[in-house]
Amino acid sequence: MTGIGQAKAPLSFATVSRTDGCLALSATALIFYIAGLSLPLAVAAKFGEKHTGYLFSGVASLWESGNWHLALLVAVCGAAAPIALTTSLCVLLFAARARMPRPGLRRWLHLAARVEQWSMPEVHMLGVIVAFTKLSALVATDPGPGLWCYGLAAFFTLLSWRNFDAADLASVLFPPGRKEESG
Amino acid sequence: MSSWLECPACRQIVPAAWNKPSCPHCANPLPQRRPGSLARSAAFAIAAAIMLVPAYTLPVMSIERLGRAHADTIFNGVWKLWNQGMWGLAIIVFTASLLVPAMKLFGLALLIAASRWRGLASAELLARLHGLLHFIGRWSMLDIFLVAFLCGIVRFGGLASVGVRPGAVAFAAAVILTMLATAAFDPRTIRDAAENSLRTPTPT
Repeated sequence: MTGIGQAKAPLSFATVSRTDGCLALSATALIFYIAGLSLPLAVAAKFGEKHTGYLFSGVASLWESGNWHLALLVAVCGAAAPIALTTSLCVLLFAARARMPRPGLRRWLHLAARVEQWSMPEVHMLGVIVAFTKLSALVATDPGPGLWCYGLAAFFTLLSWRNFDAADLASVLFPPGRKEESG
Repeated sequence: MSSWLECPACRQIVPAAWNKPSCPHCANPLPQRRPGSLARSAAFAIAAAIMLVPAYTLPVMSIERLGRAHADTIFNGVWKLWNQGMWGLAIIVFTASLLVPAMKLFGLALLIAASRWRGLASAELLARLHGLLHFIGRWSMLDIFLVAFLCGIVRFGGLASVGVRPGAVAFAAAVILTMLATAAFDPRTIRDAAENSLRTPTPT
């Protein structure tokens, strides 16, 4: 927090526009993740019988068949890590935009740095596209709105991470000379 | 000699002389020298290479259609896509499932060998290779996501269903182990090897 009588230095135009752009991309990605998780990913039909698949249908199916390790891996890399990454980016960028430096924000930055390498929505999306093509010989499949939402979420996550300038953000939220957090 | 460190969280540059374990800006732990980094990385890489054997030889998934089931290995899957005229997809799956893990293991072996026995390759080339290995590693997960999606969507009992076979578990283990091998590798050993080779006088 800024001390009493300590003026906030104005943010440069470049920093403000970069932060705003990145915040918009991260927030959009987060909204699309929520939609992607709750809407049907695909509808498969065979001899008149229909089955609606969600993003977590594969995870549930793997879990039920005893492959809990694969289920966990898919859940973490395909959903938990990307959502954790975009949520951390939203929190950090919003705090930077509102000029609200808080010691607790460091945890969000550490979380983003840790989960980034396990966040693979673009690979998941490619896997689903390949699966769709393979499915054409087996069952009739129609893409659901969840697929488009998840694809857009993956795209916006990539864009926001590419535009995220951690050094710039740290200079705003954790300027040198600030009292270091204990522990 | 380089005397700066980069914080992995906030990307701020910190002098190496900063004798504290955490970043002065964000308090994230700064990358410390990891004793036994090469041995740990080599152990993960060897384990990954061992896991790739069942991953490539055992079936990764089984497809049951009208009561008849048949299991597919990764090679079979690629071959079928190619034969069905889906060359683009066959190339994507081949690259992600076969080429990338093999390239990653080869790259890791080269990094470890060059850090252990200096002079095998230039430090700049090895640093680029380390960055490339970090980038390509995730694409091997394609097959796991594909199997997970198929299992979730094709659930029509005896009419049509997809199941996971042990090859998928072995393949996932190999992918995770290669990622851990890259993470365990301390890139500063590349610089150490280059500095040692500069210090050592060349015999005339």
